[in-house]
Amino acid sequence: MKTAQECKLFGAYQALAGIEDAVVLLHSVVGCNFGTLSFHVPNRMQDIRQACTVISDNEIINGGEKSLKLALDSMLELYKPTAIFVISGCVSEMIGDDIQAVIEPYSQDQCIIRYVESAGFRGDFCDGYEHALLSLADLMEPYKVSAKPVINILGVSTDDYRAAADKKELQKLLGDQAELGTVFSQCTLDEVRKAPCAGLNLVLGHGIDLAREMKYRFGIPYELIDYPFGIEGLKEICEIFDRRFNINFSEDLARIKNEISLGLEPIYTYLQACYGMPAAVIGRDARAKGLRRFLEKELGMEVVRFARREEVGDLEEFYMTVRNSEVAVLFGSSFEQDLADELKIPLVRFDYPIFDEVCITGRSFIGTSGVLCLIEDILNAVMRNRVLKGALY
Amino acid sequence: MFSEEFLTLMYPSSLLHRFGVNGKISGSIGAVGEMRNVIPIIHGPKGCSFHYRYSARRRHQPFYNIITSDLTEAEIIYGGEEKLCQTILNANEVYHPDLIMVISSPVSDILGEDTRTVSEALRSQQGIPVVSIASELFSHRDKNFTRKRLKELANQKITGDNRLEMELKGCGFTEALYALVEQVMLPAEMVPYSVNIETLGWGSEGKRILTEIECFLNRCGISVNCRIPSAPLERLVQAPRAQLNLVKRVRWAKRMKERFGTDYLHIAQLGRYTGLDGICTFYRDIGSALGLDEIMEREIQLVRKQALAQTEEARVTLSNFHGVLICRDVQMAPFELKLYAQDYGIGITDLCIILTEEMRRDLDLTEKLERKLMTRVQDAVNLYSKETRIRVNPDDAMLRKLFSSADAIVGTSDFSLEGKGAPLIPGMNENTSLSFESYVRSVNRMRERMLSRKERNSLLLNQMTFSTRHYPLIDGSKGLAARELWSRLWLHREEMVSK
Repeated sequence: MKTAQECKLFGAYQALAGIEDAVVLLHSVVGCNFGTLSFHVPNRMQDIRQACTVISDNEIINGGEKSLKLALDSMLELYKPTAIFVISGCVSEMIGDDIQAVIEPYSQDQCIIRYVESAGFRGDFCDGYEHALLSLADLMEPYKVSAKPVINILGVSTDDYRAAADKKELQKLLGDQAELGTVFSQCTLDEVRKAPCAGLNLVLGHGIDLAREMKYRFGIPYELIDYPFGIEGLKEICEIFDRRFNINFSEDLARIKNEISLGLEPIYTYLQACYGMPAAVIGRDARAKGLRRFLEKELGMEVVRFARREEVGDLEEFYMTVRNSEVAVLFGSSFEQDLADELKIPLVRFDYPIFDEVCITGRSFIGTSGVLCLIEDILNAVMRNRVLKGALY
Repeated sequence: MFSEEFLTLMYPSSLLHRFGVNGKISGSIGAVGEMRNVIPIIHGPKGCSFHYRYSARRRHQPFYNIITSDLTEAEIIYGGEEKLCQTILNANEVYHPDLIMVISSPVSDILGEDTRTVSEALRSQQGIPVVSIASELFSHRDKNFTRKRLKELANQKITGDNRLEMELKGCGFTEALYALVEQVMLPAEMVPYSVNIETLGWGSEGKRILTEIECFLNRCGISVNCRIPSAPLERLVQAPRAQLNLVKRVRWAKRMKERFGTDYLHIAQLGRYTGLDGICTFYRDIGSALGLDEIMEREIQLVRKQALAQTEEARVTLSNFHGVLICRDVQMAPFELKLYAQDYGIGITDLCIILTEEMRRDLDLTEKLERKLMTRVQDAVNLYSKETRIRVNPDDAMLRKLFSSADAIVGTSDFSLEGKGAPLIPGMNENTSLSFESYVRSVNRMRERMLSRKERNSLLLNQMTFSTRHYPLIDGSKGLAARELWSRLWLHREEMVSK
């Protein structure tokens, strides 16, 4: 089987490593550390807040608790973090280390230390992400709901390489009428604590377990939405604000539509080229669905092959359906480059992991500029894909 | 050539290695990635096969087709051999590979899965082309190898006359080649004057170098039987036809010698094969191992003469320049001096060795060991450049003073030294390998760079906080804490635990 997604450990890492003043300790073998780092580093080289306990032969025989303690002591000394998330891996779970017992004596210190069970053989990305995000509920404190509507966003991963830009765009959209609260997990620990002051949790596919828990503990309602690509994505958010907070964004939405329209005029013939064009999309739940909505409803493309990674058992089976289609462009992660090369079609990257592009200009894929950036990327990918030459016409 | 180098640098390998090492699976995937129509199956949970697609030892591009046996809790309890068997059958049906290589993971190693028996049964009973790679060590390579090697190296003559042959245990690449020797190669009649060449670790213009080496060997009457492991499978099967293996790693070669009697020449000899003289020595060693000393010597002299003629103008030009040689690697310093002073002919006024506190600790440098290494540096000065002064960790004022009278700073890519009084010629320009052509290119390139040298006082990189001490890591970042943490947990774990 060629897997379409990662194991539980990667899910936990993506849920927690983005908490800026915390550090992640992988109680595992070196490969897990290097693997997670490999996807993290391409866009955030200056921000390395992780280590691994380097489980080796000795730990297999004698247990890894000593190594864990050593790593915790060193992490506390070197980083002085507000929190340490100890993410276990397959091996530490197999040898039966009592991780909770090791971290308990530290609990009186200033630093919060949490153990997040994440053996890869026990689940996939979603299991790890949900489980890890849910573990943050215990850190939250009841807060008075803010007078101004505040929303939290759940489902953003540490290494979603445009997430920081998307966050800014969302805040821009809300303007003075509402406030963006905690964006899990591109936030600080303090923001995690204060998350209950929000009036609503917007769940972008993942993070539903934490949303339910916050509803149970703090009475915060939640809405499950697709990633807000395109005008339709923004419209969905606006409708929620209207319904939940009686805030009307219709003027803003009209302005955005107008700006996008003006932005696209200089390249309108290229936009016409997209109309009716068959495409394939593979991505994580909310991202994949949000993109499909944008491509179909707004660009008028035909998404003839579509897969949510969570539902794909063997990636090869999805690839086979794409091979047997007339797809003209593929949307996926950096790992889909191989298929794109094979089919000689352009690949537009929008889903984790993306390790062969950088994003340092704050180009979001949502909001006014985001729609334009996304279309720009799609058209440029098509234009650069000059592999088809010959007497076609 | 540099386009390949540039592309390879887009995988931030050197940065990642400051904070971790990859599991040995990465080396095995790297070996499989060199082969044609071979599918790797990682016998482990699916997460391993996901990330090793990118984090494998393949900086030029990901390895997309990695299959997983997807071990779950059920297999942890009841064993995963049946699932492995199904995975192999399925991979064979879907991909029709020439060969399937099963790679153990830490999980299957703990479970004690007998992947070799599963593979052999499928091979013999159903004709499935599958072999398995056995783990010599758990999870990763021997972490003390570099330090052990340094200790041995300190006792070596800088000319490399006494050979150093050390085995790296737990290297995934070696484990994969070992499996090929054990399970793929078949006995064959030896073809006189033929060699196999191991193909990993040839640097940025590796393919070109290998072709050039092959051409030279051919003109000496030596044929290349196959490149290991990059040759097609049918050639690998016939690898024992070669009289001699030219190898970077000895462990698999020793096994091949045991099984098929194929002799080997270890070509990762620091010093022995450095520079133009080193290239000549390399071919002499091959000639000697094959019993072709005379013909080889004749060709060596001929091509050497050509190489000197092709670089004469460049060397004359370079001899008019004076440089300060910076070296961050005390064990490499003698060979760097040899290259710059002897091969390029640049007057090296000062050899500055940067040996930070962190390097000393990580290399486990005792005073005695450091003294031995410094004696080697002094030997190199005596041999190659008597006028050169050795300086260890010169401070900023001293560096500026040295640079003020130099034409260029050479031997390093430490851009934090830019703007201190002399132009810097980045170290990447020096990449002499084992072909005469690479020597010629390297010398001529150095001349060009020297003539067009310029100080770069406005480097964007130097708008950030870098220092020679922590180069290439950015200063004041969380990265320094991560680096220190890794050093403690990887290299100094035992000392820390005993404290």
